[in-house]
Amino acid sequence: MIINHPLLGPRDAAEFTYLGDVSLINRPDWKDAEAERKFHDYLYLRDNPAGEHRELWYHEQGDRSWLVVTRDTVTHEVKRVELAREAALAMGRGK
Amino acid sequence: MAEFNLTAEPFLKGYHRQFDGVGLVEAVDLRIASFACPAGAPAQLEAQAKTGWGIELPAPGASSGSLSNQPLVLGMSPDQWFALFAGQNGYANDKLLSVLGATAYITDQTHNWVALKISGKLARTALERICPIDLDPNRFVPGTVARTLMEHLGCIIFAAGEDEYLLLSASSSANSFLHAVEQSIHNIL
Repeated sequence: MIINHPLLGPRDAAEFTYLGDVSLINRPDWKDAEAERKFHDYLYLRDNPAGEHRELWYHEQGDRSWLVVTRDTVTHEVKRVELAREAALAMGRGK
Repeated sequence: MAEFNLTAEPFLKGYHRQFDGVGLVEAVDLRIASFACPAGAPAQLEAQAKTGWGIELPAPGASSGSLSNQPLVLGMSPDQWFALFAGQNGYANDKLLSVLGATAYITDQTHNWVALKISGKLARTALERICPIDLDPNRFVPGTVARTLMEHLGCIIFAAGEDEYLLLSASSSANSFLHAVEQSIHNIL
């Protein structure tokens, strides 16, 4: 599988490690009144779609960037690759 | 109190070998340090590099400066660079500190890396067997750099010139890396 890195171009998937669902970016606030329930959901509840899935990949053997890869879990087609920092900012994270 | 004089020994004992069409040499005279940009403060760092070295900091995959007009700066990621100096005098982090000061986070990398120079008309052919990067001379032109894997060992490949590459890999697995490159050369001869 080839991941088309937004800065470096096409790279072999062997250079990357997979973390999981992109929702891991949305870490709950520990001071939230419902933090316990939210952390439970954050840690244990995942969608398992047959089709388009946004997921976090780490370019460990490359530029050490975190990426958000949009991949079709049925065909393994990689549809879009973004820098996680930009995806996180677009999701309202980061200060 | 006893006095000791310790002499650093190259990781591959100064390995050098000429194959038919490929030369492979351990580069023993490199000083290396990495520097990273503090969050949100790229302008100060860029200005210091411009003033001190007269260069623009390169984008990931590109380079600025040269070993003869030191330093050679390699763009490793959006916020991190490697600076290479030729010669065995002084520490690379001191050389960076004197120019960049507190505008960057600096880490001396000199003894973390083993460096191999591979050159010759068959150098690219030998590397193509183990390097997943597209080394087409029209794409991986001199001055281009990439961080990747060769035989499962992390490495940095820098196109130093036509048919000339500098390879950096972890010094702790220096002999395994040399073996991988040597084997790749044997496979094409």
